[in-house]
Amino acid sequence: MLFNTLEFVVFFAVVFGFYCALSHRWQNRMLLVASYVFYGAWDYRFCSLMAITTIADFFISNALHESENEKTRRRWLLASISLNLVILGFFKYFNFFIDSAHTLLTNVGFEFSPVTLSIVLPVGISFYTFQEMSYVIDVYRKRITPAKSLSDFALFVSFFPQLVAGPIERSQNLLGQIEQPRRMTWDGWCDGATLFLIGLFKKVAVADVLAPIVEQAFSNPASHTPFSLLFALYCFSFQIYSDFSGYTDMARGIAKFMGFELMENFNQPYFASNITDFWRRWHISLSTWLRDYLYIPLGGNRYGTFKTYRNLFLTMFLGGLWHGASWTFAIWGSLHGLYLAVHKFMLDGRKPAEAKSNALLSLVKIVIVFHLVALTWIFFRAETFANSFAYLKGLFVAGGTNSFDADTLTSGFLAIFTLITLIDIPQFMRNDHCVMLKWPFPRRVLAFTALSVWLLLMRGTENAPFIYFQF
Amino acid sequence: MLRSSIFSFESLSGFSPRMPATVLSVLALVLLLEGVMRFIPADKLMPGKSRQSEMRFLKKELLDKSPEPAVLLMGSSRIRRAVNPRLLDQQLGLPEHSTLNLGLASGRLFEALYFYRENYDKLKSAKLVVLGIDEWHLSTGWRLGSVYELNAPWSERFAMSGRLRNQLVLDGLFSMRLKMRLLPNAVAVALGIRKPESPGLTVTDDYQVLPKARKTLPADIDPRRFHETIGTFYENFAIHPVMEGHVEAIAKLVKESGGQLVLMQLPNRAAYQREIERLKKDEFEQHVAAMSALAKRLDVPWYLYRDPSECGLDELSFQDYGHMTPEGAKAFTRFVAPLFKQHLQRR
Repeated sequence: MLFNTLEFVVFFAVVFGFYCALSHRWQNRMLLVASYVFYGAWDYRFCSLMAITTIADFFISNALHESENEKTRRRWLLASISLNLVILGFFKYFNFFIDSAHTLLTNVGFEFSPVTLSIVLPVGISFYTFQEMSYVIDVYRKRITPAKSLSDFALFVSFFPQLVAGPIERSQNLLGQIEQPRRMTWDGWCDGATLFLIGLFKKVAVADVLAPIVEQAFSNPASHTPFSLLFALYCFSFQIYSDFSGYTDMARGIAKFMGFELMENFNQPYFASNITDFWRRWHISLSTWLRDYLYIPLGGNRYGTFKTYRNLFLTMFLGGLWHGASWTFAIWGSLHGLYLAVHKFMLDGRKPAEAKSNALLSLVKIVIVFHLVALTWIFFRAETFANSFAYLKGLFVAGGTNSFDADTLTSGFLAIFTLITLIDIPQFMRNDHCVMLKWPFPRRVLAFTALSVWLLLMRGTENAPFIYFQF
Repeated sequence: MLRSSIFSFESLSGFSPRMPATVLSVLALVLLLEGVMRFIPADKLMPGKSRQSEMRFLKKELLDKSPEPAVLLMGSSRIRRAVNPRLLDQQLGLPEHSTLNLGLASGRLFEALYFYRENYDKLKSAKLVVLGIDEWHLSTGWRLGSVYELNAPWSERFAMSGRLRNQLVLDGLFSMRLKMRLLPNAVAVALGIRKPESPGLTVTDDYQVLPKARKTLPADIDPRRFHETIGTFYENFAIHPVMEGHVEAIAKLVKESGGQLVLMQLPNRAAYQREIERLKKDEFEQHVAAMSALAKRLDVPWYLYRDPSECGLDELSFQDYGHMTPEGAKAFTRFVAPLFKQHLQRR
């Protein structure tokens, strides 16, 4: 059930109607049922999988909290992490590891027939698994006390607006809001509606419009001219951004309607002036998760220069693999790890440059960072290494002759231009995702009308699922 | 307000609604724009190479010149290219202009129904209506076209599933997706800034409608091209009762006019048909089974030609995967003429 479908509109109307009428306790119970219905709409069988890890983590975290013995506490923590990673590993990485082992052993002369299974990846498993793991680790670190009610914890894990593609919430934020009565406000509704409209616009009028252009180029990069490949790469950079941040905006908007405040996941990442800044703005809930539960436990920057670089690289490498069971994702993550290490090396011993108002220099930095990031997207989007290298080759060495027609170039350009001028620049200037609501009435009406009309005009006929659902 | 341990409305306590002036203003502007779009007929906006424009062309060039149509051929460009109207008139012993070949490029059954309905007063004189069936006609997988998106009944929009329902319901509510993007071109044409685009069709001396400049390109008979074509036609292949309903509606209208409906699936180039049966055998058989059941239910004759040789056609009779050459059309016309004659006489 995608947010941009009539099914979801009906689903949410029913849920919201009940939500307004019910008392706090019953709201939570109803939301839990609704979340499982929402998740079951993809594949009802995976509801039981989510329920198993939820129940296990609830009891483990309580046992962990009650135990004073450090050894026992560690065992409980290990049990929870093992359970979560085994399930995630089986569903997401089983075939990947088998295939990789097969390739490796074949290359060194051992022939064997690998056993691969036809496994369906449960939607959103990476998101809710990381959310549960952070909860148990936080209980272990005594940063939070465990949830008192199993149903509240289950709702924390399965809360439908952010269940399938994040943001990966922390218990300090979301669980607290679940446990306390919530108030709905007029301003909350306005913010929620604005965020939802912006998210819908990003998904339907930008990401879905760019998708066919990207598909055309990546399906056969060798046949396209370097200019076409560069254009398609820009298109993918904005497709993935609008697709994912659009989902987050819609999730946050839906939650705001009900009085919940989900964390920000994107903050105009393509306006980042260095790569570290990019990761403070892109998929914030994952980058902070990786920082808090991987980079810092690995040692962070506490054990010297080499280990800092190693930790950065390793964190981003695993971050890449989190996205998907493929070495192309690992390369994508490794490249970002390399960028971050190089940036750290460049900064070593120096403080980051003060943000001086040199607009031209800032713009140059933004353009450079954008292109560095765009290059890594090739590995993210391509399905195989061969495809990635064919794309890179085509980009830098003129080979193919296919180019996009004027209509395709215009629609791609217009989608990106509208996104940047109507949404990203105003949000960036005021550092406010609902900046439109603060504009004077005529400007506000014109902007919302433009968004709505553009949405109705550009809505593709494809209704493609969100890219991040596969992770 | 009802208060209990379950229904307490507590989240709304202290909630103070205000006049949603922005929402109402935006809504008013959007609806105003949509109203303007609805006011402009689609025909005025559609570019030359659209189904609407082709329909106008057929009406002007064929319908208006035929005093009393007796045989109608409807369907896609495959039937348009397969039957030579003048030759069929001669073979059936009918006066000139009695046979109208009204096939449309990528024409769907709804478009045939729409055209037939729109021109029913003229077309009801036809005693034989041949509906050319393609294997993608009953499937909703391939694009349905703007004629359907603009004119589909609400019951059909809601009868679809998933993304298609969403799209068609929104198209029913807001026609601006289809119309507004055509507005700049239509205005430019109206102001004389741009020349109106022609449908790119011509009527031959045999009253057959053909594309203006059609050459046989080597790629047209390239097996890789066949795979692309098959991929397009069979994408998301799903036979839908709504699509079958369009045949039923045509059958009902033909029956009302006292005519005879014949369903006919034309042969493809043999090499192409082999590829279909290799790659999409199940889907093809599903289509055949659905068509057979439909014909039985409607009590209308249904002809399926899998092998072009049974119609006296060979590789040279086809220009590409399934469109006939003028010579191929003549051979096929001679082949079907006795069959059509039988149906005309049996009436």
